[in-house]
Amino acid sequence: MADRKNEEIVKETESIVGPSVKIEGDLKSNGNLRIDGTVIGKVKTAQNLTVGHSARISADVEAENVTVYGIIEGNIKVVGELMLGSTGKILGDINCGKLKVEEGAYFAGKCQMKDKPAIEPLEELAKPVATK
Amino acid sequence: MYYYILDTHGVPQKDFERNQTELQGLLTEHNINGEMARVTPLRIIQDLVDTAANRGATTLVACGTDQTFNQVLASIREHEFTLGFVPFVSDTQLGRILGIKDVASAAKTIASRRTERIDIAKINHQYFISYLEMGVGQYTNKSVGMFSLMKLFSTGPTQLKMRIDDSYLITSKVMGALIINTRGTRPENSASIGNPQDGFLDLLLLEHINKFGVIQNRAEVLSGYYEKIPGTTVIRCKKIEILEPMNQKIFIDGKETFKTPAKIEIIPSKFKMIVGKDRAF
Repeated sequence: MADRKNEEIVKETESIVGPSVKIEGDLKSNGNLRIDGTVIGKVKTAQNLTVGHSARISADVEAENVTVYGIIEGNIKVVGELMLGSTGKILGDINCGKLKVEEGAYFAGKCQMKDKPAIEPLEELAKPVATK
Repeated sequence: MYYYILDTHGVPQKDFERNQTELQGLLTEHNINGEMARVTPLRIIQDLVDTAANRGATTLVACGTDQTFNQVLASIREHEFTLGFVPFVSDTQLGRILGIKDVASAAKTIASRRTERIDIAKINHQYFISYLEMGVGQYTNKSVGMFSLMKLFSTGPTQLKMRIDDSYLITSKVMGALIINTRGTRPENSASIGNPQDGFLDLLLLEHINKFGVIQNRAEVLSGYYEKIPGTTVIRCKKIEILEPMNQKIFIDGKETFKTPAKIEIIPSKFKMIVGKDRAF
């Protein structure tokens, strides 16, 4: 993603926050959002959020899907998938539908998934297997 | 009734007379009625717009340059008009936006009367249709040589501070900025940037680029396609307040119009405009 041409990123992204940009306040968007700069406040988008390598976000984040290659200090609420890339760092709690973590990523916080998967109770598994 | 405001400013006298005669002939040919009024030192554009309103004109056609149209826009205030444009010089910004390249295509467009509601942007109390330029942005669509361009980028970036949508503050070191309602390029070329029917402004901030970057992105810098340059900030919003730096020049269509601080906002679907089929939106 980081190596792709800016033009391609712009085509599918409503707003891009460049590396030298610092935002203070509530950043809200209805479309896809890419952050390569610094954000202090809140970040909320109805669609996808990409946090680039150079990004540093000190804010609570809400989005449909989130991809993290930079640093987020704050709680993250994701309806769909949260992808924590190899250079990504999250210092805060996560609430998401799906979680993907690449090798080398850093995460310090609590993680809560939305849907509880159907897991057989441990007692069932512990029953002795009948042998002939 | 159609009311044509003919402005000689920025048009060579010989070209003006020729264009006026051609326009009159074509309007007669297309059977379009109306009244023509020429701007003079004693009858400025504001007076003519007021006259048009008093005479019950429903369509106001600015004939001249981009500046003519911008002055007509600035003079409209609360009057309700359908707006048209006839370029009396070649390669106008507005002509590119509306798909009108000369007097002949303008007359044909007026005759077919295809209208679209479009957003209008406002800086302080003045309307504009195209985009605002700051820093190196003022050289958009100008012929600047490579040496001059390198010199521009050697001056260093400016610290910019803006408040967006009354919601957040942006600070950044930039070489140039564009605040776009529309520009003479089709939106599909670069996502939805510059669509005058989406109810948004597009803010483009160009970061400092090194000499190699200037050479590599020369065309993008001079055409105002900053979004094609890596590191450019693109923000879609409805309201921008430029807070810093103070006294920075702001240009519209190459003409210095305001200085910072300034407040810019979008007014969705404000005017009906006569547009050509080759329009950029």
